[in-house]
Amino acid sequence: MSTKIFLGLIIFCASFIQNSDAQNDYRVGLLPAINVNKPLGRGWAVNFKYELRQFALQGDYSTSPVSTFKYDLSDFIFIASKKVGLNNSLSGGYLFRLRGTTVVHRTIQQFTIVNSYNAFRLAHRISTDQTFEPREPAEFRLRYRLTAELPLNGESVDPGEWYAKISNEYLNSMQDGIYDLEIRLIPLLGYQFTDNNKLEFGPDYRISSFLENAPRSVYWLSVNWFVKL
Amino acid sequence: MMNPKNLTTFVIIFLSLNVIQAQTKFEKEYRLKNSSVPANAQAFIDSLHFQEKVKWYFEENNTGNSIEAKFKTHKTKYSIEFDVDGKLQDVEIEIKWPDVSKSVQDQIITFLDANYGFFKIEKIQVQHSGASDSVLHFLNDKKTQDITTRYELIVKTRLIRKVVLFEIVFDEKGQHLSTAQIQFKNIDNLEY
Repeated sequence: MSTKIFLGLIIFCASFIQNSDAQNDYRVGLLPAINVNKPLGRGWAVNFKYELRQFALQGDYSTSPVSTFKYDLSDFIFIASKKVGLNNSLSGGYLFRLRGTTVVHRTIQQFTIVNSYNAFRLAHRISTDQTFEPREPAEFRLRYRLTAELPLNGESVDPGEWYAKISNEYLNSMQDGIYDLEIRLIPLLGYQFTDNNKLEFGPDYRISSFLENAPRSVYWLSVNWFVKL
Repeated sequence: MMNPKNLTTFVIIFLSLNVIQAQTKFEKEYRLKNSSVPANAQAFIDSLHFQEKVKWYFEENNTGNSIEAKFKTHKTKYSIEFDVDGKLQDVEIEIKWPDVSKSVQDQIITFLDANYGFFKIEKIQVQHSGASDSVLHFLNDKKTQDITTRYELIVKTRLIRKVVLFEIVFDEKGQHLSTAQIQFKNIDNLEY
């Protein structure tokens, strides 16, 4: 996988993003996250993720963007997983979201398959979650995420090397009898410090509400730090 | 409750300590330009009758460094390993189970049956090593004179209620030589 191919993919993704909703609202923000994983033996592991959302700009494509630099929310996610095969794991967890004084609770179930090929790795993640928020109907989601990890040098990602990670996720949501679909496209550039320590960054594009309403777009600058203890 | 900014600072400091402790293992493979390949390694590849596009790699690890030439011809994957001075170490060719002779198959299956309750052969490579001229002669003319042949199998099995992969090496008659458990690379960034 050469750097040229990765840059080509980024340009392709960027063109998809620009063309997808030329006349509608958008928001831009930062999405830093820390992800800590601790193996417990016999295939069990626990995972903790802390993610923070910070908005920077908002507007629509017909006017100049307005600077709205403000902290939005924090997510605290706890997941326990069990390997159920060579490449498969079954997980369950809980998300605790703090948005101002509002507390949101989410239960999560997921199944992941990671396949290794000669020059890349491909991961499928199927998950369901149930979100409970005060004064809001419960939201139920069914999600599918496909992720490809491509080394930018050699046939595998080794310590001290860069890699590309491209994710595409489809989130089917049902809330108070109303169905919605959100699509995410996330091309990231990653650096592996050690096998247990990786940093990834890049755009995270999300579009939702486009089935029956004006699409709502969010452009995040995503920064993910993965640590295995 | 702790302020999110304070919490972030605490977590970053805690995890940074972990980073410092974790930087002890070292294994790295990267592409090598043709101009950086030792002349005798390049000459060996040029002497092969099949001329396919060859990708060169340099591998660094705790036990020593090596140079590998990888290519595919007639739908078969070849990996030819040299030391850093370009001296041939071995040739690995990916094969299928039916390509292994019946007598060797029987020996391997007897060993696997005796040692593992459940197993699945995921991948087989045949390794050839010996004097450079002999191996070259074998690759070009299929004459098996003065070369050592081994079979390297990647086998999936269970160990203490956990699915694991083993790399098991057999000699040319199917006699067991060595077993090593394969350590998986971290996939946290693909799972979560």
